[in-house]
Amino acid sequence: MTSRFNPSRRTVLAMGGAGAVALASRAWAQSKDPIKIGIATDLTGIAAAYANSQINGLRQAIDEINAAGGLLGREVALVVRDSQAKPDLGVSHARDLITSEKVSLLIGPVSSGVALGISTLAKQNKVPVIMTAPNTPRLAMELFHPYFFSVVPSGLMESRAIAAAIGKKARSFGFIGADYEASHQGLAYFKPWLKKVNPGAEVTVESFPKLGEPDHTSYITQLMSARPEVVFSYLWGADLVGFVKQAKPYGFFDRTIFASMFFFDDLRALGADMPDGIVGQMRAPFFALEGARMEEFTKNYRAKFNEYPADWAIMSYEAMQIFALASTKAGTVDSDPVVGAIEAIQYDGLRGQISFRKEDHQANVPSFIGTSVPDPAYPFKVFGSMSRIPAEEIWPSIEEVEASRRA
Amino acid sequence: MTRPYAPILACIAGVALLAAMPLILPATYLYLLVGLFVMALFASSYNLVFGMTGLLSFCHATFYGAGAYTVAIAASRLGLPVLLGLVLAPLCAGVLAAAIGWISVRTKGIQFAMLTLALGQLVYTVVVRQYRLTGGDDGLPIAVPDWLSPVTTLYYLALCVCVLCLAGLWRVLHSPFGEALAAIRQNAERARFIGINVVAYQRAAFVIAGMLAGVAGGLRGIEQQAAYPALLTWTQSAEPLLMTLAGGLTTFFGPIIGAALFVVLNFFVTASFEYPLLVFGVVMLLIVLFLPGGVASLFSRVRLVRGASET
Amino acid sequence: MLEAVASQVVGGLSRGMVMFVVATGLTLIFGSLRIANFAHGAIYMLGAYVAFSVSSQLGFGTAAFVAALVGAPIVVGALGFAVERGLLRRIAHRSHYYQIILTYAVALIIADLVKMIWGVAYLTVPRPSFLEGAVFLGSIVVPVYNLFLIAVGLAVLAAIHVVFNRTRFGTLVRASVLDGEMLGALGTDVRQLQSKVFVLGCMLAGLGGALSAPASSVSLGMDHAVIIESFAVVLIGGVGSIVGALAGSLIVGLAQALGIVFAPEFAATSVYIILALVMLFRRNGLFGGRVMA
Repeated sequence: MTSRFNPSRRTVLAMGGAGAVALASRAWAQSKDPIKIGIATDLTGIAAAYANSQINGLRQAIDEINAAGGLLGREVALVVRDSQAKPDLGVSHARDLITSEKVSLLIGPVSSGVALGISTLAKQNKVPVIMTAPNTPRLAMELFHPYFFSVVPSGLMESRAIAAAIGKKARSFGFIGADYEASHQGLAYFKPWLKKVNPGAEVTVESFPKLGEPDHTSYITQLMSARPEVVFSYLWGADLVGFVKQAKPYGFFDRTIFASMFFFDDLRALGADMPDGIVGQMRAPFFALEGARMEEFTKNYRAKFNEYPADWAIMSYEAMQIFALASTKAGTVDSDPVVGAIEAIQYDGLRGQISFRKEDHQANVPSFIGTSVPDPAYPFKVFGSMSRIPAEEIWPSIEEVEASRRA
Repeated sequence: MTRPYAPILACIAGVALLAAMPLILPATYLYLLVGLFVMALFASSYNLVFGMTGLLSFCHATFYGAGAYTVAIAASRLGLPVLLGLVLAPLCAGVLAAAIGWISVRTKGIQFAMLTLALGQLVYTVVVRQYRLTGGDDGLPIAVPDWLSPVTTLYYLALCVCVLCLAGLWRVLHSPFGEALAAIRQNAERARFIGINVVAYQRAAFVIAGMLAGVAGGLRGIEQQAAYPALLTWTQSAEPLLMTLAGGLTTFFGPIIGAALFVVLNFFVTASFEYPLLVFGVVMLLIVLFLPGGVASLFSRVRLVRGASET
Repeated sequence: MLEAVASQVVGGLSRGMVMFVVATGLTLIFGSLRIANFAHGAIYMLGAYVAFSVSSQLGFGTAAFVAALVGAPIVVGALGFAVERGLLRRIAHRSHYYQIILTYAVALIIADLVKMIWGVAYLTVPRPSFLEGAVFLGSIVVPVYNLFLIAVGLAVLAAIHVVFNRTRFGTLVRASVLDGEMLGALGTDVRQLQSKVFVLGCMLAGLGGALSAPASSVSLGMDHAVIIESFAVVLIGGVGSIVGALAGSLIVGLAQALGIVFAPEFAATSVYIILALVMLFRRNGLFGGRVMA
């Protein structure tokens, strides 16, 4: 289900423009300018779909807040910039958002590279930044600063979650991930946890295709030659979709248990081509989240954006609501009080109760793991009987966090 | 003899105007100008090998990135001050340029282009894999000292360094060395016949250009407060090429104009448009179609490179 | 071990064949028009997206698949025609560097047009049912679609051979690659010829995209994934040489496939290593100077 001519994006930009005009006219009428939320994210390039979802999720939250009277009596406006996955452009725009637009909150981009640059700026300018997509553990560990928050489980947490979920199923494991740092780190976090969960298990084959590899055939045959019982995959997006399609005729999914991170975008793209019986790990699977609030959210989201909410939309929505809640409690949008309020928050969100750990500002969000099955309600497959691996079981201990900062 | 002085006065006036900017412009535009200075230096250094010497290099970003990583590694892994890193940047970039130049400058034309592309991508791969040293594809942060944090200080540092380097480049181009390069570009065969060791000159130009690119990269790293692998890719190498072509090949100010155009256009287009590539592509298309000789040809009276002609 | 190697070889061959289809288009444009067509990757991507649309409009069946393979090259060919007539012609007399910028600008424009028309979500095209599954060659598993790709590649090769060796058009194109000026002096309207070559080159890129669509996914960013490798293959094989494009594609495809078995560290960079070596030691490429063997 593609979303063409996404009207919300234009309305966002129009709103930014209208906000500027409104600002001028309102200055005479009442001296209440809007609270600005800034996001510089990768709207051009391979991650464009995820960035778009982030904006939709923020939009949804902001509309709800404004409809209920705004935040602290003021309207909330979203300012959107395209960082094109280029760190220098991301930093440029984030600087502009901070110094010219005077945003009260930054939402992070999709790519880790750009996120690192923006996090540094947030620290120096003392503006809170909430990450809703990138999850390199370095952000919360060595590169931590008090204005940083994350509502995504970190790469470390996700590797451990998968190890916990599938570790006991076999003794021989294979790994495939794109040849970039995140995959190598992901594997590095996976291995010790796997040993912990299942001392006799080991990773017998590792494949690192290049990022954006269109043809994984050689890697598929490499994995299959080694005959691992389980393959843990760090592939994502178009790479993952391509891999699944190419591996199917080889009978790959009959011969080995395949366990991978999936984004909703991948499920939607694969449709009926998605094999059954795959172990999937997701960050915010809308179909597995329960509660009236979630149903309401999905219904409104679909009506507005003509698609189901992806993980990014849900997480960004929650980030915005968390900020709104914290600001309301603090009675201001000034950075330090807001940061303190977020630290102390108990937010009843779409994924459940969310709070942040003081030491690394990591939200205690779970990892969702389930097995793929068809679902008559949707034109794509879902993961059934998803279990939540709670953050507390898999996040780095305080000692580990502190050790990484000392290094 | 007033003619030779007019362009120099114009330059001094220009620099003075730029020096006054921190009093007028808000921080965002100052940062944008810093980015502009960096790219102006980067593109001008590229013009030394491409416009002046006729070598279509596709690995110029390798030296640019090397400069940034030198500063980053010096600061993060060796604990050296950032300014020292900036001094080391052109040295490291120069060594790398010497090595790559030594291998490559025996080929020419499209072969040279592809060879430099391949070598550049190999360097990129090595850098991305050496996580311990370079931070892999997350990049390596550069902790900027407190005195350098205010945007005004950074601005003046970038302005001074770039003006000095560009002035140096100008000197080089207007020296016998520069004239030899011009002769090589126009007709390498003929140059060889009059006794110029073409390969040696090309390698020298390659190294000088690489060093200047290294300085630009070092500044970029300081401005970004990080070095990252995207600085080393072929798409990054394509930027000075496009800037030079759009601005005006073989003119001294062409690359600077091209850099200014790109940096400013890119920023505003990605701030306001849903389809930045489309806008950017159309602008470039218009320049190619209606401004042969690049944007600098609008100021065609300002012919600042002696003996240079459009090929 | 032998089994692993054999599987890899088959995979490498099918990958090489798709690369061949795309690279042939590029090498023809490069050889005949002397233009480094930086829009080639974007055109490939457009071909994949058009194939998706044709296929989905017709219900994703076998007929839809065939229609897509025919429709995609036609659509991108038309675009190529427009680009060549409207844009490239106007700057034909200028330095080739400007043509590089022009094709690069066109690549950017196409990329955003694709985003505008099809949106940001990535898409898939299912394989037609008669090409699903795999066959067993001994104990080696070979997906049927990979065999299909090899077959199509060979068919394209055969068609090109016929066109370039048996038709007047082909002879003229070969002549234009070897010495375009002389050809013009002999009375041929070289510009018209080059127009046709450009369109043909674009159609091949579009066909490559349409063939890839069911094999992987259709997404923004496909253009970048392909462009550098295509140039590498063309240079390795020799600019303007079709047999070179074939040799280059197979070498690169197999090097990566076998690299995974024997030298995994270098598998992904093998294309650059080969390119560097060829540029250093056989600067005109393996078959440079010859269009067909």
